[in-house]
Amino acid sequence: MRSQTPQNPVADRRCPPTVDQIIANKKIRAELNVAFSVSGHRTDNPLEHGGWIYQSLRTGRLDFIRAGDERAASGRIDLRNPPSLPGAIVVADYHTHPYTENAATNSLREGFNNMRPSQQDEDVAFKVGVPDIVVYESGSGNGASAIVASGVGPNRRGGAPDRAGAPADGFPGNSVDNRGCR
Amino acid sequence: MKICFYLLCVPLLLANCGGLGTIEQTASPQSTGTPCKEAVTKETAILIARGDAVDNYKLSDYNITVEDQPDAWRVVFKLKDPGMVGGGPDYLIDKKTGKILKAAYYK
Repeated sequence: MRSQTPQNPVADRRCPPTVDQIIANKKIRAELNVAFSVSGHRTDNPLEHGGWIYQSLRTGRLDFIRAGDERAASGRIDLRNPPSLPGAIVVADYHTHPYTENAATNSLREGFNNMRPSQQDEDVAFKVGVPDIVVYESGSGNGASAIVASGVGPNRRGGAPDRAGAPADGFPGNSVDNRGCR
Repeated sequence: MKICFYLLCVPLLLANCGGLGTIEQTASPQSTGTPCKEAVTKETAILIARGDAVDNYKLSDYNITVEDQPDAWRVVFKLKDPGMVGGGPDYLIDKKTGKILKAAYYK
């Protein structure tokens, strides 16, 4: 997987990691690859997969829990009410954007470059108060196909409380303000 | 099975106005015997869009809205549940031919 972000370690335990730091984490990056590989991309049965990324309050380490298949569907995934991980908080969620082969190769379409995150992906991420990391194939039209990950919503947990809703569905919403983090 | 339904249905609907492949070749409305202002109705445009979307989306999760533009129908699929992450396709369909002019596959 090609990361669109610099390879910075998660250094500051006082602040939740940024999207760049999360994607740079080896364990998380491996999981993003695995989640995409089980999503049925370029098959007749693409299903979005995803889950939640946690940070240990004690060690600062990142971990993840993959959502069960019952939350997945073609075109959407339900990531509300993340399971709790003792001693850790949710710092992001993630999901994949798999497509059928036909959607990529049909000349009427704009190719995978058009397969960007939806407005609803971004709206939900801002509302719940944590970034949403989206994994998808990009660049198939120009021969430089790669699996990439990028974030939508706030840059870190609590990074945009002014755009968040009330705490709900297991997410912090506007109850956390990390705008002072650098 | 679902694809077969759309493949059968759409040509039949278009046939009421001369058929999908013959619209542009018809010299005058009289030659078809079925005068039509728009070969592709709003309902047909929805069927065309659903037929294209069915492989990549669970259609029962979506509301469909149609915008009437001068030469095309814009057919937009929006998730019924605003709490889900995801998205739907957005089509521009030619009113005369039923051809998909543009498709954006938001997820």
